[in-house]
Amino acid sequence: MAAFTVIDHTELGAAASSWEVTGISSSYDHLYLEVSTRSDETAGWTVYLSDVRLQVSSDTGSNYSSTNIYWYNASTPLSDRGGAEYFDRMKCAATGTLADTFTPMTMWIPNYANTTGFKQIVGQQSVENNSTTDYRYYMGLNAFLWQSTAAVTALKLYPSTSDFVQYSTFTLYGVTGA
Amino acid sequence: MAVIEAIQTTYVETFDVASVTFSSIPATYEHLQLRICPRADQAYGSVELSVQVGVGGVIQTGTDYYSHWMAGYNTTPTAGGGTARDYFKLQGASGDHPDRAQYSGIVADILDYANPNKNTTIMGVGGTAHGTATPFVAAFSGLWDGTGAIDTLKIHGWHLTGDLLRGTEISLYGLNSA
Repeated sequence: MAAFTVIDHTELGAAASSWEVTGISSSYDHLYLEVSTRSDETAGWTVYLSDVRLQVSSDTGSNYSSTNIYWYNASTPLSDRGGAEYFDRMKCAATGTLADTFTPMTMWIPNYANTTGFKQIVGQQSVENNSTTDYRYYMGLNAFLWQSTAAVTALKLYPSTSDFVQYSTFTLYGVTGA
Repeated sequence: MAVIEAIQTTYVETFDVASVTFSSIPATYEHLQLRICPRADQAYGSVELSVQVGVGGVIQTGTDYYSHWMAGYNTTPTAGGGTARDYFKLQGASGDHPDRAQYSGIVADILDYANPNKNTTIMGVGGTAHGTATPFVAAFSGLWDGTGAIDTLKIHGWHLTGDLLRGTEISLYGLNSA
């Protein structure tokens, strides 16, 4: 039977530029992350949809590939892909979205500690809002590839140009199967 | 204390029912998760379930629920939403399709459900792959514009009026953060 262990739980007491956990033990089978957050972005169209990034094991190389399917306007869902020095193509609520509405994000990192293959991550997030106006809501499914055979030992989640607001929560679980 | 705990499972065994209610949900967990194996009484391949939340045991019936979803329907991507309703929507329930053995799968997270600084959001995936008609898979989310600590969840059939058919099973789990 699968067993969950809390590796880290953080609730922000004040706005912060990132959430980061380091020194992740390799003793679990998988990692599971649950996040409830919004940003204090106040400028441009990102006042509704703030870009969020994820960096693994403090790796600043161009070893990240991101792809997603998403929907944020009246058209059908769209998809996209790209590479960078971090995972991207994730959104969270910002100051323009309904007050007190935080974005749920979930992420699985299976077999995160293996040292023979690259690491795949799958995730989901949704910027809920009391609006059907284009670009004022968002939902996305993500697949990420970290092109490294090193174990995942650290995770850093951060908005690209702003801070996560107070009361944002980040819960990282280690999952074992036996 | 286990990190993830089963709060309650309801199996619709003898008669079709209009709804299933989980009440007196403790505020002691960080997050909730619903795992649903549903079949609803609408004559479609796939339908949505309706969910209302309760605070202090009182179901919230105001029109301050919002929903968004994106889906694959047959061979076509599609998306939609709903604003200012008295429930939010979980997508991907099996309808009353001629294949009577068909139940579907829905998993949905309600993060920080008891946090007084946050509106309630729900996010998940659901779908059903009928052999002959109208397969459907969706990512969905919903918002209730209220910061009250949720202690009741009421899951209905389609649009608050349909039934949940016999054989439907709904489980509620709590995830701890310590």
